[in-house]
Amino acid sequence: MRERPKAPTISTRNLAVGYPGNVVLHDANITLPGGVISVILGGSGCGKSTLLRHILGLAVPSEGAILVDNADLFAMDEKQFYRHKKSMGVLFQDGALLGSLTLGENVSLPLLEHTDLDEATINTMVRLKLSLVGLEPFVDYYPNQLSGGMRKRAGLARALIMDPKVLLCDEPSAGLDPITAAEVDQLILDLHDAMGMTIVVVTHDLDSLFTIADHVVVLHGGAVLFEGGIEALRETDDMYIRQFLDRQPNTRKAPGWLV
Amino acid sequence: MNELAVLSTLINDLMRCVFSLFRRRRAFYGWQDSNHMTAVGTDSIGIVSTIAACTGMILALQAAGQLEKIGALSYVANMVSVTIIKELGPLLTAIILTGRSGAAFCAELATMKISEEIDALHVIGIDPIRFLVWPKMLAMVVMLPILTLIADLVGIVAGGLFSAIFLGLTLKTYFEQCVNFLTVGDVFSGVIKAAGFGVSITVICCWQGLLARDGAADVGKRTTRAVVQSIFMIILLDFFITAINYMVL
Repeated sequence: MRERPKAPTISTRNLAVGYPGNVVLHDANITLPGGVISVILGGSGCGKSTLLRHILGLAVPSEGAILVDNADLFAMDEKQFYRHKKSMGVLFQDGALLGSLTLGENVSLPLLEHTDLDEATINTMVRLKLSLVGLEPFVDYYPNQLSGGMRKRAGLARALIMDPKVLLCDEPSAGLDPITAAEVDQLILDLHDAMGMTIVVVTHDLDSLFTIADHVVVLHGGAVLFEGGIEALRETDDMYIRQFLDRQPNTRKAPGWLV
Repeated sequence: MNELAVLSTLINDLMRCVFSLFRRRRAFYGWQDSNHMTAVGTDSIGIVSTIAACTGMILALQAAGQLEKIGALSYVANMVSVTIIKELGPLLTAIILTGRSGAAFCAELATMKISEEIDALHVIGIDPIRFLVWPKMLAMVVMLPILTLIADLVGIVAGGLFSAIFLGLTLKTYFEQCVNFLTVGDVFSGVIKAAGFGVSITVICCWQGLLARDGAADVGKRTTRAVVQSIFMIILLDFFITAINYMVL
């Protein structure tokens, strides 16, 4: 049997990310191990999605480096960067499907851009990936004719069409009902078992976290607060993480006139 | 400053598209080209023709009111044809396309920017400028001059019919006057103007669309800005092109 190619490890070295005048994460040294499902966890505005944008190469870090199997992402030449992009699949928050194209056309875009496959083969591959996420009957639908969960699954089909070695998901369960969210989580687990990809999920959904995570990174206050396995996370004594995991609100003093 | 950086990157990327115009492209880029040609060109013929016809008739009526006083009613044809071919044809067509297509370009790109569709294209490895903006530029630069020629024709014919029916001019006299007075250079300068307007409308509207950041309200704000800036730029360009034309010819 042919051995599956090893999925790459993504790591950061003294990384600082954010926008001019507003660095949201600094001095981050994170390792997202190859072939493992890693979850980046943190409250709103802690820099999770911004970190993901940097890993995707959509923004340049103000300091430090992002390494993909020890190759610096931002020191790659055009060809290397193109190869890196081809090896990555991304599920955006709302699927980010192009509204003017049908589901089938959306999923076929990466193949049309990067391969010279004929139309029949592309159609077969598109139907295969759509059936993987249970959307084959909707191949001719436009994104606005689908529900939020279906758009996410379609986004996943597009992310998988090039058989990526790395899958990055930005809040895959956000805005979904609990059953659909659980379906998306199960889909991520199935894909991981079937394809052995490096999967990075950005979320603040605790149910998702405990269902899919092997490795967890917690961001808070512009720094990496925790990095390790899911069991270590359960046992941590860190006050913020305990508050986060136990869903405890911050204590606020009510104004005098209210009391 | 950041907005100007986006503008300069957009212009730079569009220049790259110009230089690679004859290079082999993936077939699916053709979807976008033909969709935009239809949306900008074919779908605008009705409104452009209607407005051009009304303008031709209004011009004939206004000119007749003045020229009748000095007994030069036959010069209505000159007045209508020169004003439409040199000025109002390209200008009105450009303003109609700014409202119709330019606003749509801006709103489309702004919505795509906010819903991360443009980021998704980047990640897939598709250049969003080539895939989204270049077909719009191509459609505007090709279709605006063609629509201008249609507007010229419809405006002059409508002015002629109006003059024949209500002002007592014969169609023969009207069209003879038009042909004798107009030159190919006049038509050509209008077409060149239209192409220039097409470039500026596309660049401004797409630039504003790409600047969108903060949700639905920003889409509206950017679209308004795109239309206002485009119309301002069209009038400014028109002034400069007309001035240069006047000095050269």
